[in-house]
Amino acid sequence: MDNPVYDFLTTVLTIIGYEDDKEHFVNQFMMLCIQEANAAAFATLPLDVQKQLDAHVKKNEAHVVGEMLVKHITKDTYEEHLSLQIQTNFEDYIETIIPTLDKQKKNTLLDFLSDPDKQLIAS
Amino acid sequence: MSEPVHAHTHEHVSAHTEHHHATPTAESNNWLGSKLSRWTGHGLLTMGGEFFSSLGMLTTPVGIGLTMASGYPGYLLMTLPTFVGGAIGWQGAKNAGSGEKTAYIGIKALAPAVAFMSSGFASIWSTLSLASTALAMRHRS
Repeated sequence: MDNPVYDFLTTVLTIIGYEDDKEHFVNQFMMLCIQEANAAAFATLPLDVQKQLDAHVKKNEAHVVGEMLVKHITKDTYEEHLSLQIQTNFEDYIETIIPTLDKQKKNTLLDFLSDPDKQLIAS
Repeated sequence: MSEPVHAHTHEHVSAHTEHHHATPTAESNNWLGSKLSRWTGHGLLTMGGEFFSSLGMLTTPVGIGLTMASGYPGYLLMTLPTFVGGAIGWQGAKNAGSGEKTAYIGIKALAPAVAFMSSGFASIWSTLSLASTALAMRHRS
């Protein structure tokens, strides 16, 4: 799959010996990050826009809501939010699972994290 | 000193007691489940439009996010490929359910993400790569 973030997370799961469905885990991880990024991005909207949004949400006017959000949340802004959420969640995840790794897996993981670009190109 | 069990929630107790014996798989699933539960465990599954307007500035957008995350995740997973060109391989449920409209609003709200994802995660990858390197350095020290 031509998605470096997806490939990166899948490689991490492989290294640590994750035994369940890796794709499912990565999808859920990304969904989590997207939800959090959405919440963060929406929180930056002006109050008057949020009030307008409320009205359209009440009426289930999805197309209007979407248009409003695209108008007020730029690609760059959203990118910042999503990047931050992915980075934050990833670091928290690694910090959580490292204590469960044996020495070999830990070293392999840290080698990979030290130079993920090189590892991805080589893989 | 004994563990102040009574001061902990059930989840916290479980996390503490399982920590030393958890496998990477179990710990990974536990971590993800814990994160996701923050979005699904707020009792907001049934919130309606009036809930949004009653909570004010900050929680209004959060509320939308919560609806997206907790109300109809299967529908989101099923529908996202249409918007992101299958960039992240979403898979999901077959039925949208009665909350289709609300979920659809959430999906439409993802439009900025769609545009971004279509660009191939290049910027995110750059950030994540740098963060990973720093993270590795911390654990080697």
